Amino acid sequence: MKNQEELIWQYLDGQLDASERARVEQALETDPSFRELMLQSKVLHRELNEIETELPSMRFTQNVMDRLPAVKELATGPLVSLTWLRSFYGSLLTLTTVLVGGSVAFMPVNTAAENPQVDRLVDKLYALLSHLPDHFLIMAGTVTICLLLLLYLDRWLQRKFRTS
Amino acid sequence: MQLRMEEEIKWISAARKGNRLAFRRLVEKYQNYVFTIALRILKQREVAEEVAQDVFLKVFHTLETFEGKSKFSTWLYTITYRSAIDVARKKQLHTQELEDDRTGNWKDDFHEDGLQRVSRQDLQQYLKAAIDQLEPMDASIITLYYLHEKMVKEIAEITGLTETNIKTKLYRLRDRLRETLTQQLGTEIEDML
Repeated sequence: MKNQEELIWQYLDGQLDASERARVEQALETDPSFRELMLQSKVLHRELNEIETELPSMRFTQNVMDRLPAVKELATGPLVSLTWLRSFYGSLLTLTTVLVGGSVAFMPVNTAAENPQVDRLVDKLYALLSHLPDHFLIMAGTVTICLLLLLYLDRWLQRKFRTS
Repeated sequence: MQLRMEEEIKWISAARKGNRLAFRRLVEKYQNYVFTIALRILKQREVAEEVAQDVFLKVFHTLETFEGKSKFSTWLYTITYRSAIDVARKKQLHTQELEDDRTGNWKDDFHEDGLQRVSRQDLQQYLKAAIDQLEPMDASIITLYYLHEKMVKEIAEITGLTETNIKTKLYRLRDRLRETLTQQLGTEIEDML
């Protein structure tokens, strides 16, 4: 059997079933002390609902932000991982080998010299490069230099922030 | 509501990666709640503000451990509750110390002539003063209940108490607050409905 106070709070919290609600509403009509208790509880419940949150100082957010580390444990990690580098250069090496090997094997070269084996290889390599347009070579060189610069910058920034 | 939740998830995800702007959004959203919980437990603004700042720093460093099983607010309030209770225990900031300063009738403090009627604003002040008289844990339960969408289950998670325990405490605490207010205000409280 619930006591009066518990019943009132459950009523105000909306936790009563229909029969219990009816019981409360009947008590409100017949019992003045219960009605008085309900009125007081309703006021308290409403006021508690309306209590506003307290405001911290105006600089609160800034103070928190100022106390954060410059970089969160370098959560971003290295720009390019070693695995990625290995895969990239591995693929590049494989591709070059296949291209050079293919060109040596299948490209006809008329020049011959004393050491035909070496000459043929070098000649064929030159011949292959001469087939590539100049702007392609310039672009490939630029991309490689940029990549190396970016990697260097990444390492340098990491060292700098780790120190700070 | 759903949109806000999605936005919050994005902020959390970005803050985990070290995005300071996203973390700032989280601080701005929750600072009042965190500060209020800390203040109700610790009763002193300066100490509560310090603890609230520490809470956000702790959150920043441990955001990876937030698994998303519960709501972010529940996780945040759990850290706040535990930090504030720890500090309250260490500093022995019990309500008894403050009670000494608050003896006498609050109504007299607000209305010396006793003739002016109590306004809603005054009632809020009485109520805050009455909550301040509660033990830190009790004050936090009342605060969390009315701040945190009346979710008993989540308050149980935050405080480590059982749901039944929380419900029982809530009935008793509100009865105590009601009795305190009626003692102070008499029948005026009924006129406020």
